Amino acid sequence: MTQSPPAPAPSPQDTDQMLVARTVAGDQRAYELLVIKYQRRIERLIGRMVRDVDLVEDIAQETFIRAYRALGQFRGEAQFYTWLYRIAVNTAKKALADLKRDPLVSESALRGGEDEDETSSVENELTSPETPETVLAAKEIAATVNSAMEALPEELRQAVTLREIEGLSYEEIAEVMSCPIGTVRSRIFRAREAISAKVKPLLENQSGKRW
Amino acid sequence: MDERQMDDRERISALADGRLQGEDFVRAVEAACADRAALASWHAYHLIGDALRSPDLAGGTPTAAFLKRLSARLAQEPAPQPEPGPELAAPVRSSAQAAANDGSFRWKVVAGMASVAAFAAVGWSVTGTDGFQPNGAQSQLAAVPQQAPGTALARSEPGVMIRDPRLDEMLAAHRQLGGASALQTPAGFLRNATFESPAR
Amino acid sequence: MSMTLLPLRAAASRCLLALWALWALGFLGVAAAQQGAAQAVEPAAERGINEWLMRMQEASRERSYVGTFVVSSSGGELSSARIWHAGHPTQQIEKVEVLTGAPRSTYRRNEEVLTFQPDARVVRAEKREAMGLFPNLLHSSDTSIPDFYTARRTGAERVAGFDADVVQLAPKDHLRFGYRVWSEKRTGLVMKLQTLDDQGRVLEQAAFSELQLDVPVRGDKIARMMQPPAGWRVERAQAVKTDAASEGWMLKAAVPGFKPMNCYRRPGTGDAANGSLQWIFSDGLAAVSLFIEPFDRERHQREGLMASGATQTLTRRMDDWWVTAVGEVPVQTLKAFAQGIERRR
Repeated sequence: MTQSPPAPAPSPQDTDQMLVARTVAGDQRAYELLVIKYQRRIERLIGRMVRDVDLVEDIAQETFIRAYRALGQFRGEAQFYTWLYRIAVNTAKKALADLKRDPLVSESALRGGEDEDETSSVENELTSPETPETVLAAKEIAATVNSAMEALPEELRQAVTLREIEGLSYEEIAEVMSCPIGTVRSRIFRAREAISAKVKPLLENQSGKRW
Repeated sequence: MDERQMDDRERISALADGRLQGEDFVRAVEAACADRAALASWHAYHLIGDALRSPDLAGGTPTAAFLKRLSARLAQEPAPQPEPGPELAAPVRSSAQAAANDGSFRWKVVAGMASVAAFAAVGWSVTGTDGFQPNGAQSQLAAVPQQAPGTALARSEPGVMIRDPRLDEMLAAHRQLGGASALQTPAGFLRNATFESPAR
Repeated sequence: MSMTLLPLRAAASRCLLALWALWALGFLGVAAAQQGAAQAVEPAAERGINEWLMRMQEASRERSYVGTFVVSSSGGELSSARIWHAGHPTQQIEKVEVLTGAPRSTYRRNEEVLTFQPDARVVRAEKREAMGLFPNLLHSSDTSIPDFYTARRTGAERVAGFDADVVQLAPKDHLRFGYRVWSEKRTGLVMKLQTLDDQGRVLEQAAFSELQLDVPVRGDKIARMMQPPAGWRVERAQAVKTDAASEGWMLKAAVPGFKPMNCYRRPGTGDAANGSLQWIFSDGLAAVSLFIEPFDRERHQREGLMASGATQTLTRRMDDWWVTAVGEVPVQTLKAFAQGIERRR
């Protein structure tokens, strides 16, 4: 069989859409992969609008349920995360509106204003909705990731930095590091494995819950 | 972790970077969902990226617990239905990209057919030699590892996967037996709905 | 072999395969509408295999339903489609829209089938064998499904929100696969179907992931959508019905349970002198196609066995011919076929 011309590499957005398509085709697990990918970002977004930690999780859960129900309408004309983001904002707004109607709800569950800007991390630092324990756990995880990065061999650290922090594609990283794309893929993988080894024990200890 | 698990992890890593499509995509999804450890890797890889970009993303509800609660609720939801509309629920692509990724593009080049090949691009697993000898000796079939019997779908090792457009043509012709031309409806006893495999 | 189009005139559909055996028993099919009330008479646990199959067939023809159907193979591949079926005792109208892979919509009105390919602006038109009611009485009557399979209700489960009887169809020999069928309790509609090998492992599963049953489906609207849009090319399938004997082929030893159903010839392309033959056999539940074409050194290079889901394939050279045997049967069955093909003198 003759070789066909190589297809252009798909993008991460394509993968999101492929996971959505696969979910609609009948594989619920594909949706769970998307949930794992975006849960933290969605919770952070909601956390800017709502102070109460438990409520943040509830709204995040509700967001993913609503997105799941609406998957059949997602046509892929927008990016999946953009679409999910809007659902999260609407769900949070609705939850806040419901709360305001309920005389039995504590005022402290609400936050003043509805800050939709996801990137103002300074504000989040000052008014984090989390308990001291969870803040400490988060700091520990972040610190572990950073120290694991420091401990990596140079080429592995560079590959994962270019990918995760600079956001370069494999092709671009291959150019920067003057190596084949396969090597880029392998280095990023090995970097992730090395960091995972140190981080996973912390994740498992979180509230004693395991996969 | 043995070599095969390492390969699977690397697939999961590539999937996380959005590098895969077609059959590679399917294999990586299977690998990521295969067991708790695989799912934990998918989680860890994304968490690492999040934490590197923004330390506050290391917090929030522990993902394992979050997913466990969500899964229970999702199980009670009806499966998402594709809504009626002119397009199908497939990724929107530029036409050039679509042509390159579309399985039928490859058939046109290989088989040199003038009209569009409308058959499924199916992955065939080579299970062994025919073992046909004129003197009757039979060779062993290559064993395809399987899981224990049960009511769950046994996930087989893909073995050596090949693409063969002519085989696909024959499969399509064979499946004609049951239903509405290219696509079989689940009428009565029909299996092998000849739906096309996921986009390549 | 080259086919530019899907073959037309599908052999007896799977509907027919099951019903054909019922005819063989002298079981005259009553117009199904009249049987509506009678369906519930037999207690579920005591139905024979033909009874189960008849219920399933009738439900698929006469009920109206809309649902999403998913096929998964042991290799992890997933295919699915959305199905709209307007049921009626004598008229069949349905639309199937593929959800995975390239966009395709297939419309069927009785024997007429149209497949729309929006990416190429092509419509393929073909005629299936008479599928409407009951099979041709001339079909061979010396084989029946109960000789080769048993049916046993093993329990009840819910599928896609419906209560279903779980029926195990077990083969009586090693030449065929077994099946586990989830048959909706009230109507008999097949909700889920697993194909099992002799170890009981699931090779393939086909199921509704969601379903609305007995909803009013607008068959007239489906029929209206069958008009090819302006500017689209309409292609007609090119398979011609023939018979194996006049094509020069015979099976020197019948494979137990499998009867020849139909034979089609397809044209070759370009310089190929002869196209290919497709010779179709069935035991009522499983089908085998033998594709026979002239041997071509360049194209025919891989002899052996291949599998995709429950479908097994065997390719083999036979002197000046190349045989491809395809079927949802164990490998030894394909081997038995391949070994039995013989050129007539």
